Amino acid sequence: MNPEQLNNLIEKCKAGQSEAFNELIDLYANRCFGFFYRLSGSRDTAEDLNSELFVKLVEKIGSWQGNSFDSWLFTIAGNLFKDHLRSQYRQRKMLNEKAKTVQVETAPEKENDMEIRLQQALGRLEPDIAELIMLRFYADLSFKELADRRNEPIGTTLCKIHRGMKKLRELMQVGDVL
Amino acid sequence: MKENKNELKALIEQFMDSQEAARMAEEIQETQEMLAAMPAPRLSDQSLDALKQRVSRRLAVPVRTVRPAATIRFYLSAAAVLLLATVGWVMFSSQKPAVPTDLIASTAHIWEDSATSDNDPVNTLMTKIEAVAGQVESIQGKTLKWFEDDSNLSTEIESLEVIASSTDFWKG
Repeated sequence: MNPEQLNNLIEKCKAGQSEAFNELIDLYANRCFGFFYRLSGSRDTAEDLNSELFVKLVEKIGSWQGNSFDSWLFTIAGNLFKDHLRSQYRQRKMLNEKAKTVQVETAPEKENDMEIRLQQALGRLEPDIAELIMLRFYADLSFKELADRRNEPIGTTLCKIHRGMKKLRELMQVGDVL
Repeated sequence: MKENKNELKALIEQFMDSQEAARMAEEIQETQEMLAAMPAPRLSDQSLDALKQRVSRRLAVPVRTVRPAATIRFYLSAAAVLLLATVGWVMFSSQKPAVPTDLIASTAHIWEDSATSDNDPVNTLMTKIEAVAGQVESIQGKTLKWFEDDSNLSTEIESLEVIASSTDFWKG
C-alpha cells in the first residue's frame, strides 16, 4: 500500500468506518503481534497487548498528524509494552520473586531450537536495546526515525543497535543462552 | 523506511572510517537477515476476527475527549485555590492596623525589665500599662498640637496650592 492509499485509509478510520479499521488490522496486526511476541516471549501477552493497541488506536487515531504512521503506531506499541513491563515488575516485587529479569515472563512457545535461542537471547538483552532492535525490524524504521523518536543523536542509536545485534548473535551462537 | 545496505554504509561512514563502516553495516545486515529467517508466529484467523470484533465494539462507543477523572481533578484544584484565596483574604482584611514604630521603641524598655515583674506581677503590670497609656497620650497631644499650630496648616495649604497651580500650568 502506497503512502497516499494509507493516508486515505486512515482518514476513513478517523471518520469511524469499521471496514477501514478492519483493513488497518489486516495490514498491521501481525507485525505488531510479532513485535510484542518477540519482546514478551509469550503468545498470550502478545495477543492481549496487540488487542489493547488497536483499541487505543481507535481512541487516538484522531490525533495522528500525518507523519510516518508506522513510527507513530509503534511508538504507542512501545509505550504499551513499557507499561506492561512496569506492571509486571510491580507484581513480581509484590510477590517477592527473585527473578532478576522481567523480560522473559513465561517460557516461549517453542517451535524449534533456533526459535528458543532467539527468544532467550532477546530476553538477555537490556529491554531498551531489545525494543530498539525490534522497532528496527518490525516497524521498519530507519536509524534517523529511531533517533528522532528517542531524541538522541543518530550515532548513539546506531551504536546501541549495532552493539545489541552483535550481542544477540553471540548469544545465539553460544547456544545455551540461559 | 529502513536504509538499504549502501545507504547504511554511507550513514555509518559519517562516524567512522570506510573499512570499519563496511564491517558494521555487514553485521547489522546479517542480524536483520537472521531475524527475517525466523519470523515470529502469526495471529490465528480466530484471533484476528476477535480483534476486529473488539475494535468494532469500541467504535460503537463514542470516544471521550475529556476523562472524568481529569475533570474531577481540575474542579477540585480550582475549589482548593478559591478556598485558599478566600481564607487569605479574610485573614488579611481582619488584621489590626500596625502599631507605630516610635511607640514600640518608646515602650520597649518597660518590658525589658523582667526581674521586677516576677516579684509583684499585678502591680508591675499596672505600672507598665499606665506608662504605655502615658506614652500614647503624649504622642496624641503632640499630634493635636501640630494641627492646632496655624503656621503648620498654612504651610501645608501653600504647598497644596503650588501643586494645583503647577498642574493648571501644564494643562495650559
